[in-house]
Amino acid sequence: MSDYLLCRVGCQEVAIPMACVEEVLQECEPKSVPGAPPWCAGLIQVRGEVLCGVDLAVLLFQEQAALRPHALVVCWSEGEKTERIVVLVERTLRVAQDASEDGAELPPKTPSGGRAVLADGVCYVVVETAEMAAMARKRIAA
Amino acid sequence: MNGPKIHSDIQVNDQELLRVVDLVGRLAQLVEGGASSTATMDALVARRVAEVQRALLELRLVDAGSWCGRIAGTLNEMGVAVTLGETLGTLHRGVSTAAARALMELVAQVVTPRSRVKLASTGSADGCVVELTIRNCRPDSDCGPGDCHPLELQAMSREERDLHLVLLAPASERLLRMVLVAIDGRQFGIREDDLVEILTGSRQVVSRRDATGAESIVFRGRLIPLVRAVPGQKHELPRMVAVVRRGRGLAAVAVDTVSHSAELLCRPLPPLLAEALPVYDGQALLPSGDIVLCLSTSAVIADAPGTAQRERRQPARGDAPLFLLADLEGDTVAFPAPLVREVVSLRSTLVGIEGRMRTFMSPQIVAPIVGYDLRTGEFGEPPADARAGFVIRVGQCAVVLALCAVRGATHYEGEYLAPLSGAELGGIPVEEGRARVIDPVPLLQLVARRGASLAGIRVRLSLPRPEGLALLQSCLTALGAEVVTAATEGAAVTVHGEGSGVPYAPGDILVSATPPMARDRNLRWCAQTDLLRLFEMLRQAPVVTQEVA
Repeated sequence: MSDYLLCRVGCQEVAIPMACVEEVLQECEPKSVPGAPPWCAGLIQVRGEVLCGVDLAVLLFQEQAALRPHALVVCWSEGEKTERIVVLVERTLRVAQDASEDGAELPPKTPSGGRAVLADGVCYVVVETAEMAAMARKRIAA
Repeated sequence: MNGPKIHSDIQVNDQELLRVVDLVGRLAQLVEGGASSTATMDALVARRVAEVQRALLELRLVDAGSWCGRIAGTLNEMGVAVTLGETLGTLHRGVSTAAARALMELVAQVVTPRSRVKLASTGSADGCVVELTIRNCRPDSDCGPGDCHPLELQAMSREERDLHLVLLAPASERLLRMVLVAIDGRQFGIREDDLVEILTGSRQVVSRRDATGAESIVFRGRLIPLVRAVPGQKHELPRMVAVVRRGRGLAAVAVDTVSHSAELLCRPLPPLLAEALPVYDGQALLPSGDIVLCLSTSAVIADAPGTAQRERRQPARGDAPLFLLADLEGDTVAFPAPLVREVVSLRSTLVGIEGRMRTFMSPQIVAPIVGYDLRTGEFGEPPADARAGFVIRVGQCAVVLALCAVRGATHYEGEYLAPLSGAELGGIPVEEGRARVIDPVPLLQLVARRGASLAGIRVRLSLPRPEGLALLQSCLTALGAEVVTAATEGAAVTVHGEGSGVPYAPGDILVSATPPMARDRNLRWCAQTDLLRLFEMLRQAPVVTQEVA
C-alpha cells in the first residue's frame, strides 16, 4: 500500500507518490525565464537552491496555468543522481492510500504514461515524477 | 614532511580551512575506491566536489603553507597516498630547488594513477619557476580544463621566494564578476571579462540592416551583428548595446539599462532547462533573493545572425573592406565606405538648382547631386526617386551620389565575381542576390575636375572688430574652409577660393569652393541656407565684404 498526495491540476485530480514529495511550499514566486518551454513556470528559489518550476496543468493537459499555485518540491533518481524540481499544482487535497485490488480494471494510461490508483473509491491518475521529466524533455526535443 | 617556504603574509581562516581539508580528505577517500560501483562513485565524488567548491568559495584567502601541510597530513592519515609510477618519476627531472622538491613531495600524495600530470619548468631572474597541473581524468577522455572530473591542482613555486597553490574546481560553479543589465524589464548578467564596451545614445548605436534584414552596428570600423539575446525580446531601437567578445567573435547585445557589476556565484541552470536554453550560461542569486540569468557570450555570438556566413567569408583575414549597400533603381549597389564622408537624406534637405544640376545644400555641405546609370556605368542625372545620398569629398570639393535608399553595410572578402553588366562593374555576393559595386574612380575624377574648374572667390575683408573675425572663421570652418592662421595685420584677411592662384600668406583663410556664379545670384542662392544667413548677419555687422578683381 503506497501513499499518494492527491492534487488538483486544472480540471482533474492526480496522485503524486508521497515518496517523491520532499515538501509542500506555501508560497512561491517563479522567476520567468524568457524562451523557456510553456510548461516551465520559471525558476524558484528554495532555501538558496534554484529549481525548475514545472506547471503540471500545462505539461499534462495543455491547460492554462493556475494563477496562485501550490508548489511541491519533488525528487526522483536518474541513474545515481537525484534530481529535484518544483511542481506547480492548483491545490493540494489530501494524502490517500492506494486501494487498488488485484485484477481491477484500470482506466487507460494518461498522456504522461502514468497508471491509475484507487483511493477512497475514486480512481486517480498517478504522475510519476521521472516520467514527467522524460515527458518534459521530449517536448523540448520536439 | 618539510613544508615549502612561504614568504607571503596571507590571512588565515582556520575554521574554514579545516572544513576544506576535511572535505578534500573525504573526496580523496572516495576517489581511492570507497564506493562500490563507478556510477555511485562518480555521483558521490560530484557531490563532494560541489561541497569543496562551496567551501573554497567561502574561503577566499588561504595560507599556502597551511594548505600544503594540512592537506598532505590529512591524506597521509587517511592512508590514501599512492605509489607513484614511472611517469611521475620523470617529473622530478630538472627540478632542483628546495621549494620545488617540497612541492613534488606534496603533489606525489595527491596524484592518483589516473591523474594526468603536466609540468612546465622555466628559469627566470628570480629563480626556477615550476608550474604544475594535475587533472584527474579518465584515461580515455579528451576533456578540456575544468569541464571534466573532480579537481585540478595548479602550483607555482619560485626558489626561496614563494609558492602558489591553487585548487581549481570544475566549471559548474564559478564565482564570476558579472555586469547586471536590464532587458525588457528583467535583470540579466553578462560576464565582465567578455564585455568590451557599452555604447549609449543614438549617435553611437546606429543599427543598420544588411541585405538579409539582419541588424548590425559599426563598431570601431567593423560591422558586428546586433543581437536580441533574450528570446522574445522586443525589436525596437536599443538605447544601449553591450559589445561582447569571445575569441575572435564580437556581437552587440541590445540592452535597456546597465545597473552595476557584482561578483556572483554562477551555477548551472536546472538540468531540464539547461538543455533547452543554451543562451543562458547559468543563474545566480542576488543578495536580495532575486534570480539573475547569466547570458552565455559564446552562445550569443554563435546565434548572431549571419555568423556562419561571416565566418565562411572571412576565415582568417583581418577586417575586410567595408562597403555601404544601397538601393538604386531596383538593384542593390555597393560603394566603398571609406570614401563616403556622410550619408544624407535628400527628402528633408533643401535642394536647389545650380545651372542644370540639382544641388544639395545643408548648413555643412553645398554640393551637386549626381546619379549613377546602372546600364552604362556613367555618372549623370540623379534618379527622380532619389531619397538618400552619399557625400563624397575630394579636397574642398564634394558631390552627392544620389540613391534610392541606404540599406546598410557589409564587409567584402575581396573576390570579385564576373561583371554583371557594363565594362568595369563587378559584383559581390550578398544574402539576396548580388550587389553591384560602383567603381568610385570616375566619380572621384568628376569631383576633382569640378574642383579644378572652380575659380573660387577672393575676398578682402575689412574687420574692424576682432570678434567679427572669429565669427567669420567659425562660419568658414563650418563651410569646410581651411583656416591657415589667424588674421594678423590690421585685422584684415584675405580669403582664397580653390584654384584662384593666389599664394597663401599668413592670416589667409582657404574657403571651400562655391560654384562660379554671378555674385548677386550667388548671394541669393546662398541666402537660402542657414550658413549664409549667418554670413548676412556678419555683413550687417561692421564688416565690409569686398570682392577683389
